[in-house]
Amino acid sequence: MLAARGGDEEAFRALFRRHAPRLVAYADRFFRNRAVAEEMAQEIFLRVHRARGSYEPRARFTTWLYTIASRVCLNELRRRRSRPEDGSGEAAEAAPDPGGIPGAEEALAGRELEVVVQRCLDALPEHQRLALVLTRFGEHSYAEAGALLGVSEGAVKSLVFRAASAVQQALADAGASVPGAGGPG
Amino acid sequence: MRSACDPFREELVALLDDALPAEARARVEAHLAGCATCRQALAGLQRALQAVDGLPATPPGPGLEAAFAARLERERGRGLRGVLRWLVRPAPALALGGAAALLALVLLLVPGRGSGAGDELEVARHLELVYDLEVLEQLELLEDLEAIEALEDEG
Repeated sequence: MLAARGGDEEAFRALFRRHAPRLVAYADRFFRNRAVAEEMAQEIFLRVHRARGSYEPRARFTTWLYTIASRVCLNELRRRRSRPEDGSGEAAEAAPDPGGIPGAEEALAGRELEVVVQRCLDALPEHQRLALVLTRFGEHSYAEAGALLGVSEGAVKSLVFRAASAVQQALADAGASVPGAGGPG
Repeated sequence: MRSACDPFREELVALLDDALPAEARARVEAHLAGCATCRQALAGLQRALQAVDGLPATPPGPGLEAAFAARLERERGRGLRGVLRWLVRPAPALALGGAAALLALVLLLVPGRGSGAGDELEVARHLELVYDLEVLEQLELLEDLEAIEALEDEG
């Protein structure tokens, strides 16, 4: 990043290639839509490009990057909430059918687990879901997540606990039908 | 009725996330040492968080870098030439794909290029234009015919 800050285009390109795929995945946790997630990743890197001259290596680059990323995604979520015709909350892309693939049964069991967890996350109250996304995928501390969401650190702790409990319950409920789902103890 | 465990339950995920101050952490760990129910709850929450962490990451589509290059260069006011400069840098296959898309577009759109539709389709096939059409759409190159002609002149 230091080279990119100095105007080295090759360094900036390398930064993009290294981090953009993970940013798409991260943004997709917010929007559950790859096209929107890609737009967000581009927007994040445009912000990085604009702000690169003011980057100071006081913290890790990824901390700086994910703070920008989380702000961009949260702002876009808020904007879309106020303009629902923009298509927020679109359905997730369909899961691939593993039928006919070697090891398909195991893959299916794994996919079913993922579906159970993802459906649970999709159904969470928004603040619980966002607290979980920020702390687990954005590598934010509870205090940072609180600042981003406009709530206290203690509130984030509670939100993450409730979200994790909901996932735990969903896994327990699925335990009877999904091999390996195994609920709590 | 409140159980003796209630004050500790909400601390369990924070404990797993290493987000408790030392004093609170010591208090929770002391409780866990004597409470099988909370240890069980801790294990269940840990499995839940592992399942969340294990969710697959959505990969980007093949046109991401070209689309970003177009946005960046538009912002810098450098247009098509800047996009080309970005994409033709030696690196992943994506860059070659983007450059191939530009070359194919020149061949297809500039009058006098190629000897007929059949040749053009052949060129497109060789350059995997089906994939690259996505790149082209995002580059909005069809709006930039003048730039394409300028490239042609330079070539």
